[in-house]
Amino acid sequence: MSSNKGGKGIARGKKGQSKPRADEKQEDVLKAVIIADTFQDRFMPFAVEKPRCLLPLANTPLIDYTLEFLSMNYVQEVYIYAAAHADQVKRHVETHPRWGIASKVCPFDKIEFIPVADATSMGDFLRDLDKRTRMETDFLMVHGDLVANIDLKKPLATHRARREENRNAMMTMVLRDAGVQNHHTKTQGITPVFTINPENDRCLAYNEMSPLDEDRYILTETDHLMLPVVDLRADLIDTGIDICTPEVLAMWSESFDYQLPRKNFLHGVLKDYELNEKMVFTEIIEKGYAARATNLQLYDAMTQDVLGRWTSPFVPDFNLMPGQTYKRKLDNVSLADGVKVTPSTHLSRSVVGSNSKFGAGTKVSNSIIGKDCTIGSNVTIKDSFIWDSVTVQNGTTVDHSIIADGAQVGKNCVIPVASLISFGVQICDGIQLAKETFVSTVGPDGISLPTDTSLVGPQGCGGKYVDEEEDDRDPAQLQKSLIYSTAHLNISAESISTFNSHPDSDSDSEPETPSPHHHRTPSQQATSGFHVDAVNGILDTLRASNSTGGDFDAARIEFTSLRLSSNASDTDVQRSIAVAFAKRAAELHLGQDPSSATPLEPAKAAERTVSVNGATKFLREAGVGGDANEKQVAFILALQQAVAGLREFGTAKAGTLLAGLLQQMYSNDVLDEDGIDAWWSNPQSQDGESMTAVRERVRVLVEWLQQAEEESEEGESEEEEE
Amino acid sequence: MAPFQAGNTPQLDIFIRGLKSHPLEASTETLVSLLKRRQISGSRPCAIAAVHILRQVVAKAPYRDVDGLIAKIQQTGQRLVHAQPHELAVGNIVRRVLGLIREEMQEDRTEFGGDSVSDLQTLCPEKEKETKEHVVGLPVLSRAPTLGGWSHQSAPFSIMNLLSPDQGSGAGSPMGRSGTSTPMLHGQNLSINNLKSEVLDGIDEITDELEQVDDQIAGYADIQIHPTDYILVHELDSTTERFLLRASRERRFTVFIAQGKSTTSKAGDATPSLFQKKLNSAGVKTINISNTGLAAYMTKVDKVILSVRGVTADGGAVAESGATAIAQAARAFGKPVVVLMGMYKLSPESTPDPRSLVEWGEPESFVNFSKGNMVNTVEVEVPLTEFVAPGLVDTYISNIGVHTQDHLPSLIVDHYNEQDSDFVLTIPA
Repeated sequence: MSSNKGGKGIARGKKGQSKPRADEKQEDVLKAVIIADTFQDRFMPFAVEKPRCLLPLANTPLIDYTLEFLSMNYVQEVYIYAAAHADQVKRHVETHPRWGIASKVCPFDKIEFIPVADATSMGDFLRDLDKRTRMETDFLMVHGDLVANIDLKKPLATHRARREENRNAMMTMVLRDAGVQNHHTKTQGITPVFTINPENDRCLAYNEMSPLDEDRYILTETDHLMLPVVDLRADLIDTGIDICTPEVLAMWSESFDYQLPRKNFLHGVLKDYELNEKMVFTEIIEKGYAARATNLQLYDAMTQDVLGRWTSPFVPDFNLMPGQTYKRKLDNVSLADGVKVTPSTHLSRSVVGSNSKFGAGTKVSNSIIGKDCTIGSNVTIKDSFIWDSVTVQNGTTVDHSIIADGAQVGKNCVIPVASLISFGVQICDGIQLAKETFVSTVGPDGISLPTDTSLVGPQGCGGKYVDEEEDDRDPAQLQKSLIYSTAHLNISAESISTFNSHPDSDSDSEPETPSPHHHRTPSQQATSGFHVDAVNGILDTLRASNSTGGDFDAARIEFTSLRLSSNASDTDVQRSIAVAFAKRAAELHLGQDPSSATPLEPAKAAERTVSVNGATKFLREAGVGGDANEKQVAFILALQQAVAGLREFGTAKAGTLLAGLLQQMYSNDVLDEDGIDAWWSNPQSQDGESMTAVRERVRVLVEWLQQAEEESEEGESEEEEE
Repeated sequence: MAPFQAGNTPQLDIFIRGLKSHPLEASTETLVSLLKRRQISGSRPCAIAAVHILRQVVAKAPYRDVDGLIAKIQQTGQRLVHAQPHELAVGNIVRRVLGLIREEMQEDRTEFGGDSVSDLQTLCPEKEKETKEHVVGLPVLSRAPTLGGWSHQSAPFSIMNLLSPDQGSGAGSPMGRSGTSTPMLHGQNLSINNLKSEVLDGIDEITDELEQVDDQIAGYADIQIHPTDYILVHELDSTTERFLLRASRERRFTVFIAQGKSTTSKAGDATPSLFQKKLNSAGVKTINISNTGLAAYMTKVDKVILSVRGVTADGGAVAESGATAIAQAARAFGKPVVVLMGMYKLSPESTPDPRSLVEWGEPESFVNFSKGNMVNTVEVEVPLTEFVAPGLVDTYISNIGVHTQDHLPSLIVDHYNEQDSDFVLTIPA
């Protein structure tokens, strides 16, 4: 645009035929979608009656911040999606002096409401938007609870440049760096973790962490760790501002079950990159303010940010909305017109809406008071949010709580920390609420609550608001109160290490080979992967050692690392080894071995299998893993199952093979008589038809063994007698 | 006109360019938003924007007579001033335009009295158009007791009439009469189009003045800056830059640049600004000093030059924060303090509460938002401007000359109409 500023564009020259905004890179008109419904219940009990985007933040409804932000960035067309309370949102916008239909001064060319009656998630909105084909070019997607003062010119330009370069650059997310320190404007309870390639700002993966998670670690794809640099960032504020191409909507339509834009959509799209080849980028801003009031804690924090002027120009005394008349006085107090205070009223770091009155001796600090409120004498209000037309009578104390429109609090009450008093509640004189009490006149289902006189007093109005379902493991639970706390939760303080260390009894002398992929998938998947890999690995070694003399030591290291990396259990290990040996024996018996094509007798095949260089040691240490009878039994059972499972064999042949293998293992000191004996008497060995049939074939061996045992025992006793 | 346009912010350029194609009301609202969001900031950009929108009001707004026009200007002016109450220049421009209208009105009246025939002749082609207004105007001639009989169309007009004579006669000033003097009303109606073009010309003159003001002020540079002087400047604006550059053509001197803001852009401070390079290449030495170490240099300084956002009628200056410390240090060491101000910065108001002129900025310029420990616990208050008390300034240099504090009242009388001094408070019809 700087290239355009010659003399001729200036209005003084009458011949300047200026096209409106001809200077902006004309990508048609810039459109934006506001998602004004979140399908969450973090603002209960208020959100039962009023949608989140209409709740006042520092006396201005949240959606007004969002709209003003869009107008600051020269957005021309706005589409608003709302489901619950859509009528309220619509009425608010349409009657607003700035955005309304009647307003001649609306900065947008068009504001359109799209009601989706049966929507149950954000996904439904976006799939609906896709059907409407309103978005032919890049557009902005924001949420109705966004407060931001950033300039999107640069993110938009980089997004467009990227898209020019690569059609698959589908989306750019705007994120705010919030540093590594504790920061009140970061979401608590659920931490978004972005895996980002800092070289091209591409987002590679998205995960969410919560203190309630069982696994406190993030799975990283191996590919990502192969990159020279990769950032895993949990220090970002997700502003929810997405610069989208129309493909994003198509993607939503394709994945009909996605509901949430981050947890489902983003996570899914990034995970399936190989499938869809769509790329998502990040724009991490380091200057300016952008945050979403996604829960009460953030609502609190963002109000503090407004008071601290981080959100400038969104500060009360700039009076951005028509009709606002705030003036900043001493002690960071912004007062609107018509506020009445007495000389002994003490206000500090607060915002007071028009026509509110304060009595003598009242102290208000760090709070927001709406318009038309009546606050009596000697009232103390600290860190609180009093919305419009609230009455608080003499001598009452309000500490870090929210009192919604039209509520009345009697004399000498105590409203302690984190109380939420919803619309129209009346509390009688002298009531002391307990901490974190939610009082409402309407229940979670929208039906009015019966008045609980023990809670609000005889002439009161309102009952205790209790959530329908309480799932302790849901991290959303942590975000429902005004104060973030995990103290009441029973969070086990066990290892939060990223690596799953297994208490390993069979202490391999090998050092734990750190594999480059510390990844872990849900255990079922992991072990089945392990099984296949392990069996193939051992089989390869067995085949190789047969012909070349073998390298079982190297195979063992590989096996151990495989096992550690996939966190396989002892049973998994035994199963894999058993299957591998059974398969090998069967291969030799059937003459399928590439090295020697001649079929071998079962006994010979078993011998060739077990007597391989190093194999016995491997079996002893890795397969059985000790001398204990239970381990031997478990291993033999695994072997029995493996043999019985060989499809090419009848049970008779399989039994013979098992007998051969056991004999070989016995003679090579892998197993001993006690172990085989114990197996023989173990009921699991006769579990099922094929198992019993296979077992029968081993009877001879067992009997022979028992005899031998008796003989040796006799021999021993004889020796003792001597 | 190129020189000052180059310094315009993109928002101002977009705004000015959009004026033609947008309806007046939309443009006004856009400007109000831009001012509120501080997307247009700084006294001159604000003044330029105000001039442009007021020109549009004169050109486009519907009004039947001078009083209607005045009311429109007042209305728009109030909105602008409320949008950015910290920039005195906005209110000043509104007052200038109001004064201009009143002046033209007075001229018209004297002309009309002297040469009515020719006036009527020149207006002949427009006679048909004007007939309707004549009808409205006629009852006014027979004015006094029949308030109730007035048509609804003239209702706003009547309210102005009720108020204006009171103001005028109360003040007893000669200007009081210029407000609405009944006998001449038909003359106003006849000459409203005449007046409109006169006023538009006058507004264009103000625009020209805004363009030239830096050059004109710079014309006094040679008188003020002497060879081998040490000049201390604070928070350079375009006026000061131009002033120093002009002086550097013929003089060799040294400039101390006081860095008021210990902003986060530490790296930026290390590299000299474009302006510094220009000064250096003109043979002027520049030395950056931090605000804290300032008093130590004060003995060496010959003159302090402050760039200001506005000057109140009593001589106080609204300057970038840090200016008071400099001015006080200068006073303690007996060094003269010079304020450079375009006439548009001189306000006829004397503010009873200087604190209300302080504009508060965002803490981001000192603390990064990503420093959670700071954001959570520390309240960072950033005054962008502060009020330099009247006694601390010795000399005021405007585009029309060099003045002392005692001259300011006469300058104000020259530039503003007394009636308009508190237009922000009057409720227009």
